[in-house]
Amino acid sequence: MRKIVLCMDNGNLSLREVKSYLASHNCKVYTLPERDKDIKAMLTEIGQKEGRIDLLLFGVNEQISEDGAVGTARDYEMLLESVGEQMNRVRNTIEETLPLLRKGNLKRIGMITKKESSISNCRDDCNYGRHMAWAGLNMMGKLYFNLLRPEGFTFRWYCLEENAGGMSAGEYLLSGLCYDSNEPYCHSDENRFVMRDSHLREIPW
Amino acid sequence: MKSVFITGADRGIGLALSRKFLENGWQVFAGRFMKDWGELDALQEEYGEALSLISLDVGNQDSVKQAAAAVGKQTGCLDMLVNCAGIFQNGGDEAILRCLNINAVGPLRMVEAFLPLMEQGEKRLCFFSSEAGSITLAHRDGDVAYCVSKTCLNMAVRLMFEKLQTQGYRFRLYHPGWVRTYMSGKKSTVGNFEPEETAEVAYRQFISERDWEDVLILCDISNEIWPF
Repeated sequence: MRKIVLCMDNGNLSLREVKSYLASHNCKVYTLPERDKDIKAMLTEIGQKEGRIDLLLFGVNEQISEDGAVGTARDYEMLLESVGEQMNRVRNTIEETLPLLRKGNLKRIGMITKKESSISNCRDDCNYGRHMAWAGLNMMGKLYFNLLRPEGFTFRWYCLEENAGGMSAGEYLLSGLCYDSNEPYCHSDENRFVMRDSHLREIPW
Repeated sequence: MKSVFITGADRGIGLALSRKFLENGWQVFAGRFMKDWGELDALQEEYGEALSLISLDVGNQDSVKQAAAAVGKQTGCLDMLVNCAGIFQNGGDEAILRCLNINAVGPLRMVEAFLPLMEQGEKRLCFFSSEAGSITLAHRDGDVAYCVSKTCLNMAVRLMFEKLQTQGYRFRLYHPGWVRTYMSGKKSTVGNFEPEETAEVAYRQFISERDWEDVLILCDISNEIWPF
């Protein structure tokens, strides 16, 4: 059955490639407009045409302005605004999309992120806005996982790297993870909130 | 005499920690957000010149700069900076921005404003984080603003650590446990610890030496390590 995908477009170039993959693999891909009013109109349209959303897809924003290492000049207001905008946009979009996601077959929320979003692994020393936003979105994903997994929602957090080989983001987003409702909770990979790269290596938070 | 600046020192953990450092002979600069809250005044009567009260709103860059200038007039060398100020709020977009501003961006403002004063000191940077910032072990399905802000703090500390640890700075990232604090405005009646209990452990962790200062860890009141 064709899958219905709603995707945020925030200037993340990788996300455009993922959307192309999905569109060529039996998905109908809608792209989120910028303005809140337009988002509501689009959700109404999807509701009328499709009756559901299977996958809500985000990509981390790589356009947040660069800044230097600690001790260099910084615009704190801009930093706060850019991180806050990312958090609020993703949160509000999930909240508004939930009624249609609940009717979906996958009930899936996905994020195309970066390995550098890992607090454990990151060895960068600059670009605070980007890194804080990326890490913050990982936490937001975990909170929604805790909230929605009992309803059967599924989550895919994928670290994209150029020329890394392995499984593409699109394929991972659509893949199933082992799950058996008759087994103990911790015996199913679907019951874990994890971030993986293209070789399916788990990246620590 | 060693010196420490403590943000959010008006009450709760910050106040208890200020007292702890004073008891151990430190010069304490206490960041004061609420001028009408009298507990710091009482502490100053007890300890006199060892305690300096510095007006501070960590959410406001001008205030942070003025605080650094005020400390700079009294000493050319600060040994330790303790970022204790924090808020807990629930709600929509505004709550997220407020929590981010105080809990995550505030400590970054503080570190960057006080770095020049710390160059000649013991170079110790301490941060109050929380289990709420641990993605691995997060059990909540709400409190988005607070949890996200603490995760963002942890990442900001990671970026600072990567730059400053090689310059001799020592980092302490501390989860104080579930404390009966004033984070929501009024003193909480629920929790596992009093502010004095967690301040005692925090003090020991902040002043102690580690053989492995090249590892950034989140450590709790039981001296147990939390994954990010």
